[in-house]
Amino acid sequence: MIRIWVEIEKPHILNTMANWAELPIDLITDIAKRVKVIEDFIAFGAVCTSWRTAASKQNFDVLSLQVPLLMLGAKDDDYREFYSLSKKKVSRIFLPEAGGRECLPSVGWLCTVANNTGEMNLLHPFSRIKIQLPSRKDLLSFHGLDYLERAREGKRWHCIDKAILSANPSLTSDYTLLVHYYGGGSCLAFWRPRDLNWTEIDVVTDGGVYIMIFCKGQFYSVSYCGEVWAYDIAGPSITQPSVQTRLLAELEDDMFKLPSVQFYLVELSGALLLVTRYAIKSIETRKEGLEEIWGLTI
Amino acid sequence: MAEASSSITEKFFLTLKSSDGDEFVLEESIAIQSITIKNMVEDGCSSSVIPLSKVDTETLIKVIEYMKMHSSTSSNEEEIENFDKKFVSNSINTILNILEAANFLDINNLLELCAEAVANRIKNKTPEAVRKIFNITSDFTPEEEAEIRNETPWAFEGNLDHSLD
Repeated sequence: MIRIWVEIEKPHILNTMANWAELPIDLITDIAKRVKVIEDFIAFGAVCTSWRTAASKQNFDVLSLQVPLLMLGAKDDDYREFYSLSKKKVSRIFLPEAGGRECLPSVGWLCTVANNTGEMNLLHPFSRIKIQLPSRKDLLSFHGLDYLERAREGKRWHCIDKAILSANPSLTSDYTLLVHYYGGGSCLAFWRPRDLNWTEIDVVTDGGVYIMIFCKGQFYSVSYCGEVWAYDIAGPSITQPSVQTRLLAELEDDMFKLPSVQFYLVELSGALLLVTRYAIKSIETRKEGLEEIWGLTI
Repeated sequence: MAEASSSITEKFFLTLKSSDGDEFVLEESIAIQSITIKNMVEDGCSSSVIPLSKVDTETLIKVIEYMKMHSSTSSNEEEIENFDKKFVSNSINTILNILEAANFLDINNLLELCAEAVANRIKNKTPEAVRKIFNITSDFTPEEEAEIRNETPWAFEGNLDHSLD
């Protein structure tokens, strides 16, 4: 016997509006996991207690692309402020781990440097996960300058200049951190998870490192004099840290002689671009507030 | 020969009963998209009516519509895509009822579709607007509420969308 399913036209069903705070927590969590924009996720957690439980940090999808938040300067408390470009609003985030520290950003993480002790960490500002790094003192030891840690105790001191990650530590343990710092001159060192100390890179670049980027498996730097260098750092399968450095190009242009040029290295659709910005008028070239883009073939 | 071919194409049917007492007859191959029903069939509980005490008639009709469209034999990809788009435009109350039913019936695709639809409804909304949409009363203590507001004042005020859908 074959029976055929017939849609039953029901008279209007009295539907008393349910209180959806009482959804099973598993289902609220299933919904929370699909809220991809961090600002929406924070609003989700501000609805009621059960939704706040579901909007815990581990339920946020760190892979989803976000419009970057700009981190504002430190104030005298355990919070840090972030400016949301999409909402045009400032949000305060409880982040005592950033207190009294310089914060250098890379792929959504912060490389923190404690002003007083030189202790260094990688810190994720939302999960507040912390990864310990060798210290600033370890970097300075390469140059016999570790006594500076004591001499400058408690004073603000711009020693670590830039920190660039090759990959997001939230997603992989196969990453490298490259730091540019001032140890008598312009210096570079790298660290990989499980390395006990930094590994110094012998920098022979003319005019200190101005800007660095990680792109297509290698780090690149451009110096104040227009030298472009590549750094090929061995992955985690090779226990002994090693690096091969290559001079790729010596860019020649008047801009490298100007005092007020900003350089940016940008990856765009697989190409590496050097963007230059002129802040003030130059008499010879009459470039003012101009931007130029150079393509670098890698 | 004729007998053999008829046994291959023979269709089995199940009767599902909603919490309101309405009965629906559905091909077994379609109904077993629900892992809960599939387990019942495998345990030999399918000869009589399958009572779904947690699913009302209105919701069960929607779930059956979904299962029919998503059964592998009858629909192409484009049809399914258009169906899903229309399906998630149901009222938020309906979607949440279906979400609960999908959870009870263990229909993973449907659960994902509804959870995604709910997440999309709260995009760019303040917590107050979300509470109104979902008929939720804040159960935070005044101290907790103040602390949350202090952390993220922008989530509560300013130019965020207050509209209710």
